[in-house]
Amino acid sequence: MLVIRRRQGEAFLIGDSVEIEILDIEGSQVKIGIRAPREVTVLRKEIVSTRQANLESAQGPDASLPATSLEDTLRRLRERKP
Amino acid sequence: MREILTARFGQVRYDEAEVIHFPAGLPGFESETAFLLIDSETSQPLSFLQSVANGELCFICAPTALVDPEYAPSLNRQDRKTLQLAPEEGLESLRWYAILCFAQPDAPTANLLGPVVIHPTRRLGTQSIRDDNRYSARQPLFPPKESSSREVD
Repeated sequence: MLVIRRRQGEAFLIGDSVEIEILDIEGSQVKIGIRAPREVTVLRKEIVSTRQANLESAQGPDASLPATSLEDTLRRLRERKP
Repeated sequence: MREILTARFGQVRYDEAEVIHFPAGLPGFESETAFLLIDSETSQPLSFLQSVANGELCFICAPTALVDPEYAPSLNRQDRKTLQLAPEEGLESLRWYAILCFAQPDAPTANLLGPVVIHPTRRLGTQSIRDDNRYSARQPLFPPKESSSREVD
């Protein structure tokens, strides 16, 4: 991983068209400004992992969970009562 | 009463007042804004989040407290707004669920990073992605080697 040290108000570029600026630093939070072309998608990483998990969790007609997995999960959950 | 044909439950009859509205949808399913929360005796303690617009789309959910008895609910400002939570209103009136993923059918995981939060009386819901990194989007529902861990004390 490339590591850069930046102060408030400083910036850096990714490629020719994406600019990242450190706007503000407060305690453990950093406020970041992103200048990028419209076609570049910017998403918080947590949203990406939740989106991916959602897509894999969705029970559709082709991705339907075998009944045995659900039965097995229910059985294990009910057994788990402390 | 309305009716939808679902892949999991067949024909489901429901009242408009039972529908839970997710104004922003769910990540990856942004256009799905209306769901039914289906609990049945045979599925306890799990619940199903069934899309109203798409009968084929359904998520299997577990209460977050069941996945992790010490789960600490947290809601950011945006999600409080989505649920129309008054400033003095606490989080205890809300219902918290983790969506289960069965990508590996014998080792299901639960999304505790982005729980589904429902305001039961306002019939509003959101998938609230936490700002901290305390929890995983793929928390194993059962600890690995659950049965063989008793040998060591």
